[in-house]
Amino acid sequence: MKDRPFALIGVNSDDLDRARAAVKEHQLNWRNFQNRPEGSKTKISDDWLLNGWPTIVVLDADRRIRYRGLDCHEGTRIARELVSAMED
Amino acid sequence: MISFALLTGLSLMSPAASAPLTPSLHLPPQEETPAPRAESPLERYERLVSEANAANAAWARDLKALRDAEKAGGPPVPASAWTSPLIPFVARFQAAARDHAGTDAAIPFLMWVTQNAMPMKGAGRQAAKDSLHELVTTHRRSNRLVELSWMLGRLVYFFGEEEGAAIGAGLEADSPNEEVRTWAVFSRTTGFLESAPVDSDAFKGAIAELRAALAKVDMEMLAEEVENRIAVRERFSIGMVAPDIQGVDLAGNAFALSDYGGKVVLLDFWGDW
Repeated sequence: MKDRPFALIGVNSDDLDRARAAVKEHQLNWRNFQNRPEGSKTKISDDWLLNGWPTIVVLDADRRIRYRGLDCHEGTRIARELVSAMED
Repeated sequence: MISFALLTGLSLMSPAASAPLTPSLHLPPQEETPAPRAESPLERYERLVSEANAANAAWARDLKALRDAEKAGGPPVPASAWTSPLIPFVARFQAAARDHAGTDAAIPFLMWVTQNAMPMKGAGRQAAKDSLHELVTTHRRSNRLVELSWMLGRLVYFFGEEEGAAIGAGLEADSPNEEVRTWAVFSRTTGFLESAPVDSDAFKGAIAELRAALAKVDMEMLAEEVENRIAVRERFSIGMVAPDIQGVDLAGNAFALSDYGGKVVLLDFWGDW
């Protein structure tokens, strides 16, 4: 999906050290940030009303929600479809 | 020196040895052994439960020993060691429920099967569903149904659209228990809550009915769950614009979700725990 209108972004729920270690260990080459950034009182997952992990949210080019759920295969499938439709 | 008696626990002055040699005719007449009395349903239930609990405790102990051994470098825990020890009990509880079919005495046995066999696969799960069915139909007036909690909210999931709806209607009409009736309302409206368009009358009607039912009872967890689902639908339904996220990524660079306009974004909420 490189060089295509697509971005995979991780939101990690661990503390900063653990998150960095996990990114290194699993060799994640996409952008990640913390669910509760250092010093912040609120969690993104609370703002987004998540209640299960891992949760996948797929947004289209207008930041409209196209998928939200626990099925990463379904999320990936929808993302691929959206990218293909944009490229047509 | 320790005496032989102390070592062996024998007492030289045991009651038998010191008992007076009374002639037997002065003893009260020996009672005859009473004829074995039939076990009451409650006694049978308690016996089965205590056997099942003992089997479960032994299983948990054995499994822990195997897992500890594996951690210490021993052989891996065999898959069979995970098999629930409660499986053989399902048929025994079912048989007891059959012996008292249609009467209140069957309820504890049906409860046990429903609650303990639901996580099983195959025949066990089917037995649980059958028992649940018996409880929510034949025994729908029982107050004990409230113990089934979330199962009562998923009648359509367990029994299909049509039958689930009929069972729910039966509970709403006949249960003397306000909480059971509230679960039935939840079961009936949950489909609209999940998938009716947010601006539709079906969605708004479902919310109004649920909130009215929940206002009458003290069911904090369900109320919280319902409000969460409503908020998710109202703010994160398909087609709605997601809120922006602004912050710093793990590498320390400024980040804003809105920077990705024009691209498809897959957000993966994950953790390494």
